[in-house]
Amino acid sequence: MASSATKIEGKTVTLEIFRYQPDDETEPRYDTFEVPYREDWVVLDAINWIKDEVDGSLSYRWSCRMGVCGSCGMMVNGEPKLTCAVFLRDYYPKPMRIEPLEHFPVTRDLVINMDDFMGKMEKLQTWIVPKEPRTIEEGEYRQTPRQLADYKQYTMCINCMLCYSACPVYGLDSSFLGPAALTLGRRYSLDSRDGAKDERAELIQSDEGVWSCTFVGECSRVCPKNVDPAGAIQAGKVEGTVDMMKSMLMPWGRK
Amino acid sequence: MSKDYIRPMPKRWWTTRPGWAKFMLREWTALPVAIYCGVLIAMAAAARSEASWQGFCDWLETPLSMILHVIVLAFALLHTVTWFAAAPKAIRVFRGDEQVPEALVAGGHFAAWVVVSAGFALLVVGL
Ligand code: SF4
Ligand code: FES
Repeated sequence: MASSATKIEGKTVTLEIFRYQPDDETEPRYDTFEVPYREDWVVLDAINWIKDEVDGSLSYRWSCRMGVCGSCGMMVNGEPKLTCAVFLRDYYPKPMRIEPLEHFPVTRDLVINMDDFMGKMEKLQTWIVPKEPRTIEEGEYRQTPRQLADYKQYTMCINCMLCYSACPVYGLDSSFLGPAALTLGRRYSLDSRDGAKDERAELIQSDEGVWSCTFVGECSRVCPKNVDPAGAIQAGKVEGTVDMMKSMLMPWGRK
Repeated sequence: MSKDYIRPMPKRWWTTRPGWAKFMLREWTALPVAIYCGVLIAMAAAARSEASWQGFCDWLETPLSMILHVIVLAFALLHTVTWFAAAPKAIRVFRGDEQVPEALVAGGHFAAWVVVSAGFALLVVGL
């Protein structure tokens, strides 16, 4: 087990970190580190300290350190968290167990493979597909505040994937499109400027889509940005049901 | 990529996190409610003759029936409360440009519940 060679003054806190080094080992292990305790340190600071002072081989992702880039998500004592947004003092003096986000393959140490999530966003075309092409001379696409209100909450998503780690449906079967991708799909379908609603609806209403959701609701609880993916998915179910009813009662109308 | 380490879900995954356990409990509330349908069917059957009706009423007063009723009531309440609390997730209401707060939508459901229950109580007591 690795331990700090540096002598630490004052209070310390213990971090137990999931390690997986595919070049040398086939099984993961846990390393324990003593880290200085500071009131104003977030968990990510402690992990950075370990990398700087004790073990430079520790791999993990981070970038902004201010809760906007969405890259520092890890399991902290079994809960998916942005490690730059939770403080050591939230756990002190208990030891902390740091693991890569659950339900994703682990590439190395705390780094997960997010190809699956990226693929899902691509499938759902989580961008605006313009209804009608416009030239720059024609000016901007306009939208009323009410049209913006329809989807604004969903734009807060930072693609941190914490919601996927909270979702047992995704954990059991990763073909489920999952909370964030479905929410972002909905975000663009609700946008008055977008023209790919029907294409997305086919996926959203498929077996991989909203109907796989059993409404555990944990995705919304762990979301650091109050996106409420669970809400978006339930609203998607309501919409799908209404559309189905409409097409049954008025087969001649727009589906 | 092929060397990625996969962590499978434990068999009893719902025991590993409180939020998941709560979800399972909510799912299971359906069972006592279904069982209680049996009681209602028995009641309908018993209503055919005076004697069987009396028998049904006598059974209602047994400790077994009391315990069953308490358990079913507890689960039905849990079912209702979690259902109504979840309602605003599916129903997004807008007033003007603003979304109506979730608490208000849930509150509306609870208020309607109280009114309807009171109505039924009046009907039963009135009879
Ligand atoms: S919905 Fe929330 S938890 Fe999920 S990826 Fe977006 S910001 Fe993260
Ligand atoms: S480092 Fe960017 S969200 Fe934590």
